[in-house]
Amino acid sequence: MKNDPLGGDHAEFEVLQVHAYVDDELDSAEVSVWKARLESSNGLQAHCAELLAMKSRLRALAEEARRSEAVDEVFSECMRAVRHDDTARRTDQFVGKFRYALAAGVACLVVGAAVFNWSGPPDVRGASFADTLSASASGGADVPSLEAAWGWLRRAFRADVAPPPLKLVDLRPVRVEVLRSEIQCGRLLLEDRRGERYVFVFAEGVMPYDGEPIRGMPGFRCVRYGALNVICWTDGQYTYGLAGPREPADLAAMVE
Amino acid sequence: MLFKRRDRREEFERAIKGVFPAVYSAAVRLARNEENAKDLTQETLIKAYQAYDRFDGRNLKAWLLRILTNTFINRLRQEGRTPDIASIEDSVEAQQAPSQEPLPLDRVLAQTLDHDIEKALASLPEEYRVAVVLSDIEGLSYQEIAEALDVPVGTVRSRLARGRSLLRTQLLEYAKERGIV
Repeated sequence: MKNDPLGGDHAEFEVLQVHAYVDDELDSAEVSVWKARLESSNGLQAHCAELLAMKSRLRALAEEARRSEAVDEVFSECMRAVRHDDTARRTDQFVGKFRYALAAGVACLVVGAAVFNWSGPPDVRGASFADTLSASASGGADVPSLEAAWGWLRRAFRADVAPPPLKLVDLRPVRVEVLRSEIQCGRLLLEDRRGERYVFVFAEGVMPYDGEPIRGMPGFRCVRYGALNVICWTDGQYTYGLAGPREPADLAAMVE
Repeated sequence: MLFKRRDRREEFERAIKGVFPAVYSAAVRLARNEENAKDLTQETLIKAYQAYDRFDGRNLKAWLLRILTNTFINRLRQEGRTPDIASIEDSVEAQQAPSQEPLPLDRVLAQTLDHDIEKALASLPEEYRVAVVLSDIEGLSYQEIAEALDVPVGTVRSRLARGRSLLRTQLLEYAKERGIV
């Protein structure tokens, strides 16, 4: 760079030093030298002023863009992608390694789905596992809220259990039960405003599950039992199921 | 412990949220359009989450911008668009016409539309644009940029000076077109 905006024949090193001065990248000795040179050169002063003005304008432009509401939307989209990628990655890893050992866990989801017949509306068809379920369940407790349900589970599992990934829009918890305490597996019965029942099942371990993919919801699978739909998904090292008399996408919308 | 994985992800999400606008803003300026910027940011965050256990906890923004920049450069390479530095440098030399007196860039900047500034920035060759974005917009130090790009600090200084010089030339060009100077 033999010619620079100052109009003189500055060596490339000197040009770079001007930029470093403006960027606050010089040490104190170099800064003293450049301050002295600035005082004696109008051209240098003008060049520094230009650089600072350009930096300031670029920074202001970016600050304005960052305040945009669209940024929040992109953030949510990106975090959704992170969640789905993480789920898919872990499912692949665990299912690949432990598929035989974990196959037994499928039963939990089947039971979770079938229990709907036991407590759900009479027009729902499908095989019932109510007897098996009653025998294996803890007896549980009636709960007025999600917090109460999770408090009960914490005591049952003797572990600090975080709340489930559910958005309780139009749903209220009815009952919580432990299915198998040794693998932290349980279920939550929920009811909507029309009195229709839903079952949320969770189980430690990544479990292989069949079913159709749900459009727009990567990582989710759906199994249909007559009018009853069961969506299954894996989050980290845990598997969840949500059963209810709704379309799979509607069920998926209830999940965080 | 049940849901432990989700706790980790929530912690990641909380940490990222504060610096996300800066990362996305840099992505928009590197990728040059919002759709590509979204993809680039998404890929960056997925990689960052996978590597989060290895983050040393010092400067999250610089760390993310480093991943962003590497992802961007890798994409360029995959598309076979690695910039030819030699030819870029030649073109920079060519564009740096000797000036008898400094042009009034500060006056130009005051009257230049945001759109023109974005356009001028987008017109820079990738290697220079990355340096200008990371320094002037994101405020990274030369050392941080050097680490992000895996190049010596001297290269950063050189790219920055040339990028700014090109930007200046481009802005003055727009100003002439609009009759500002």
